[in-house]
Amino acid sequence: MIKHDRGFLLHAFSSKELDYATLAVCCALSIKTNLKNNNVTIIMDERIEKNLKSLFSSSVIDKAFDDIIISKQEFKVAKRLHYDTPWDSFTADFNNNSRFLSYECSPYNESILLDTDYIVMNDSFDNVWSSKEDLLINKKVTDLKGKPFPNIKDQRLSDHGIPLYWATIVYFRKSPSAETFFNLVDYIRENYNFFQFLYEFPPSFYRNDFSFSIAVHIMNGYIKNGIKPLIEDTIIASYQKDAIAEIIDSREIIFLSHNVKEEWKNTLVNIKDTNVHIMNKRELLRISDRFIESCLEKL
Amino acid sequence: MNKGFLTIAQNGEYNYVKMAYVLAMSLKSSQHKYNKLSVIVNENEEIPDKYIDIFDKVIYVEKPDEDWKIQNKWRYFELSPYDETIVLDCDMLFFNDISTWWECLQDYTLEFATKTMNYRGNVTTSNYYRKTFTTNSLPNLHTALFYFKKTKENENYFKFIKMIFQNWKEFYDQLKEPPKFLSGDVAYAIAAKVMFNRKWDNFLTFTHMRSRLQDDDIVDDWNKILTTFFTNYNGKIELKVNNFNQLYPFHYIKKEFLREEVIELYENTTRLL
Repeated sequence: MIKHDRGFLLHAFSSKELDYATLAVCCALSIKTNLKNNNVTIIMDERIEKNLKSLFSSSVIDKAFDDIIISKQEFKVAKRLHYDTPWDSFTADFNNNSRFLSYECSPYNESILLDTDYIVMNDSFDNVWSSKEDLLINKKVTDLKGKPFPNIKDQRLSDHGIPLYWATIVYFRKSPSAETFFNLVDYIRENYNFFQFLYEFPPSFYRNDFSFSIAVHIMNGYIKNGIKPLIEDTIIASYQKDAIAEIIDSREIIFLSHNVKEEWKNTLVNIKDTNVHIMNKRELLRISDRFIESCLEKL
Repeated sequence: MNKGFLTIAQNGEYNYVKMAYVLAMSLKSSQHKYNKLSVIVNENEEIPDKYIDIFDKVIYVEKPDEDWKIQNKWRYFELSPYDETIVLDCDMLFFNDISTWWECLQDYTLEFATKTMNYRGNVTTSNYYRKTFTTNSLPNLHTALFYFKKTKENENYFKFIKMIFQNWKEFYDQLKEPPKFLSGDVAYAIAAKVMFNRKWDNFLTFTHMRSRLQDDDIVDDWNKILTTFFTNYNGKIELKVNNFNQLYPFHYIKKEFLREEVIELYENTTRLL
């Protein structure tokens, strides 16, 4: 049912090792703080809902989310290796199968689907709405220093494979083509082994980036161009091995950006008024109290 | 005006006539308006009946002694049965209709493909195979796909190419980094540079499957590295290379690519037309 014209859509499913409830609150409050069109709906499981209610007051939850959708659907949970700076790693539950539900569950005519570890620090998303396109998704990604990710696996599904698109941010409008796209994502998800064979990417846990990339490629007619990127066409991402040195406020974070080849070398990078995908989730959780406080001060 | 495609298929180390046969079927199945292919073959070559059925005309020429039978590649003008000809290498396949190319070519008398694509749909940028062209500022012409009308000027152009073919070592000695063999592309480019004061830049293109033109740092046989599959949707044959749909004329280079099941697919499709 359409409740609003425009809004953001987040997914948060439980993991014993990572607190996705808090990540979602950070993401949602960053949207509320920085954007005019700032409706947020979250799709979560019951355990995340329980965590959310135990960690945050109803006032904070109400400020962060306009709608909460509880999914009772059971998904296969994978184990994923995460890094927390170059010096620590851990394995955590990875429950990322619900993205295909975005079209069906979104209460908006126009939606922007975001990862919960994506932090909004400027108002560029306000310019995405009323796009002429039914679907927008990015394939360009750079590190904090503006350098493209160097590994071919971050650019293509395999050495000679199709381009990799990032399911981190996806704009879509309720439309037959967007509906087809998400149905296709679901079909690819359900037949992931077949598509892994066909597109020759290494066997691993389910990745939304891969199923979205294949769906984009198919919707483009198996050629490289067609579906366009968002206005901010490059995702700025911190690596899992990057650390956070200091949070200034809800629009400014100072990172320790590690050198991929010489991991002991770090560069201080000040990310200000720029949206950022913080892939080191533990670092984001470490600064979450300060970040949430800063957002709430502005609301 | 009589329009058609022309290729040279003089059997030697490889069965080029078979490649021309599949090219002819690919033209029949993909081209709506102009789909005639005439084939230049060795004199006394025995051409199977099913090949004869699909070729427009079979033109016999004397067989050169060399293994690589390039020596007749200047004779397109005199041998073409058409007023307007698109010359093709026989190791090519077509998947999409190029009727609009013919319409656009009405305004021109001689045009070559000057840029090529790789299988990912990107314009190729490497000059790995074209150092002679860049070093000597020769026009970047590809004789694997070019168009000509039967004009007096073009007749002279082909006469000049004949002279270069017959004296190629003397001509190539004038070049920096010359090829060590008779290259048709270089001969055509020398003649074009000498005879025509013009730019060579147009829409004619094809997918060139020379390994090092791909974006993937492929140094070996692409046919052993990339996955290919054909599909047939209601008589329209498509080719995907590593899941990339091939839109342009596809110059596969590697003869082993033409597997028997590909020939069968074309035969079954063409039979229904």
